[in-house]
Amino acid sequence: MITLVYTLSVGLFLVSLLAWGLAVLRRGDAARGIMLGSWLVAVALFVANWVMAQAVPFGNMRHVLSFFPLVLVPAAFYMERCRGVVLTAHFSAAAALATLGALCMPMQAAWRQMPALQSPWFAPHVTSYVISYGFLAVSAFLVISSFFSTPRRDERVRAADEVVTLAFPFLTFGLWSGAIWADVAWARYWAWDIKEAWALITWCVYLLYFHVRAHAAFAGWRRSLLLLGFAAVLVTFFVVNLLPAIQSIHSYAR
Amino acid sequence: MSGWLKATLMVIGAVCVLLVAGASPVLGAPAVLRGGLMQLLGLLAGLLALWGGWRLAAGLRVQFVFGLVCTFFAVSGLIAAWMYGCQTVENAMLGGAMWFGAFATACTAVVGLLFAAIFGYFVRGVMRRRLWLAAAHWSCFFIVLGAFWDYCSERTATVQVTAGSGDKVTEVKTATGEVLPLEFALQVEDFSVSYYDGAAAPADARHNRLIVKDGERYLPFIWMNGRWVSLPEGHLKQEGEELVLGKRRYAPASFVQPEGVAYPYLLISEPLPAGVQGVGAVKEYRVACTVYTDHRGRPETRHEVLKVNEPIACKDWHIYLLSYHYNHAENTVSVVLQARNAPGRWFALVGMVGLMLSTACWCWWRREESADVMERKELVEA
Repeated sequence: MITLVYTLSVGLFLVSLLAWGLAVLRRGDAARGIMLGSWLVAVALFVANWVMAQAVPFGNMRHVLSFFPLVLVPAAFYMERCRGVVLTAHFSAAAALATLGALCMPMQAAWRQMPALQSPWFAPHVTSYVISYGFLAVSAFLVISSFFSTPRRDERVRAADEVVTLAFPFLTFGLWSGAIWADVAWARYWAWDIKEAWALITWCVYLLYFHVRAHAAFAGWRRSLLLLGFAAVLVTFFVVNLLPAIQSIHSYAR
Repeated sequence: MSGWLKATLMVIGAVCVLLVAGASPVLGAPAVLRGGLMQLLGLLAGLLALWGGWRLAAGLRVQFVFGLVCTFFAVSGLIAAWMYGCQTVENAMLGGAMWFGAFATACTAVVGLLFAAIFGYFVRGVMRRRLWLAAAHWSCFFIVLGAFWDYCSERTATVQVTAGSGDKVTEVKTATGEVLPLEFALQVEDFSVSYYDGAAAPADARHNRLIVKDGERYLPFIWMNGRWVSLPEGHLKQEGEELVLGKRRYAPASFVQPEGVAYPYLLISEPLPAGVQGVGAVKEYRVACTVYTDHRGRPETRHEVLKVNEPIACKDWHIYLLSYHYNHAENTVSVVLQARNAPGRWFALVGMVGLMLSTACWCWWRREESADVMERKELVEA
């Protein structure tokens, strides 16, 4: 089973990378087809992780990073069909990076869901965070690419804004559903744990973005705030989880 | 019969067949997969039943069929939610009670959709995007208000109770030393724990303790992981002629010294408490407790099961199960409970739910935004 998980992870990374390459080369239809294939591989990987964990596979960084492509691919199709924004390259890149991250994480074959994680809030809490982080990664890619493409700068910033507007409710749900869950599991809805503090900082940065984006006087802040927000996402998701010196009540997510 | 109707009925039939197949253990699929499949199929069956009812009503002008389907699922879902809450769905995910889990998932989904549709229908005409924005700010206010109230007046205390000891907890002591009456009594009757992968030891596992007499000294040992381990001093006390280990007393006369053994000793063998027989990863632990309280002036006795993620509420207090400890000397299990009186909690929770809902509506309420944009364009043109 471990070999199968590794094989599927590598396959998912390569297929996502291929979709990204085709999208960059402006072969849209082929990229979309390959992306759909990558989603099927992501489904297989999710099922394999589920069988190994004998529970919803959100227990550690590898599980969660492997889950990203599963939500990013439908999100890309949604953006294209319903919002009219073609972002195949950006979503494929985010999926490939997430899978690469999963491959770098240690394999915990014997992971078992501890009692505190056996809650109806567990799956929605993690899923909403994964969706929001995936979208926010795409918005950060759009902002970064806007620095290198002056003619299409405004168009990309608008697309980033569109993506962040979709992501923010998921981020909000993740943060506050976690607080509601903590209220019944740990007898307090807020503990000022380092993970919670950084999740709140991330939420506040994006909240600030929504407050300033409508004002022309702060037009120059928009891209900076989006990048700052994504930096906070990276700290919340990677730094807090992976630095061994950091003690957190969320340590089981390593 | 229209093509759509035929297709719908065929899909419903196929889902029913799959539900039977998914529930059948003879297929040999792991329970957790069957549980997930059952939930998924239950959800699909519920939605298809709704859709099928709708198509029937539309095609044959028998609107009451749709109403019947809706009513059936709504009533079933409300009963399931009232009686079992999320437990059925949770059980289905963990591989148990699959039929009911699938049914409850379907019912819950349909009831949720119905309520969402009714809510959406009523708020559609009156709600503006700015109202959601206002609701989000009010929600933030509620969170801050609840948090500040709790900061000022929340009382929490950690209580350690020995399972099965018969002790009643009627008051708690906070970290600052303040003693608070609970206005009810809590008694921990029993404790049980289950392990993953069937890692529990056989039920007749013995827990061996040993007291060795070395001159005038008595040395207690415990059998752990295949060897004798010395218990810290203080566990064994000497009171008069008797030795006290935990809550039991032993007479020195009961010590034996077979031929060839250097020191007299006393071997104590007692079964382990049910809660500590396992050696694998803990899957779940629970406490059966009795709450002695009153209802409208009359005494009331409630039997409750306390689990992680499932606190019990009585009067103004919530009791949470945090962890448990095995006491080697006494061969008993102590459960660690948290008593909490947080008057601002409901404000904070209402604010959190309101913030989740209002933020989603504000961000995703596109129609209103396009009206705003159009209004702005008209102004510019004017």
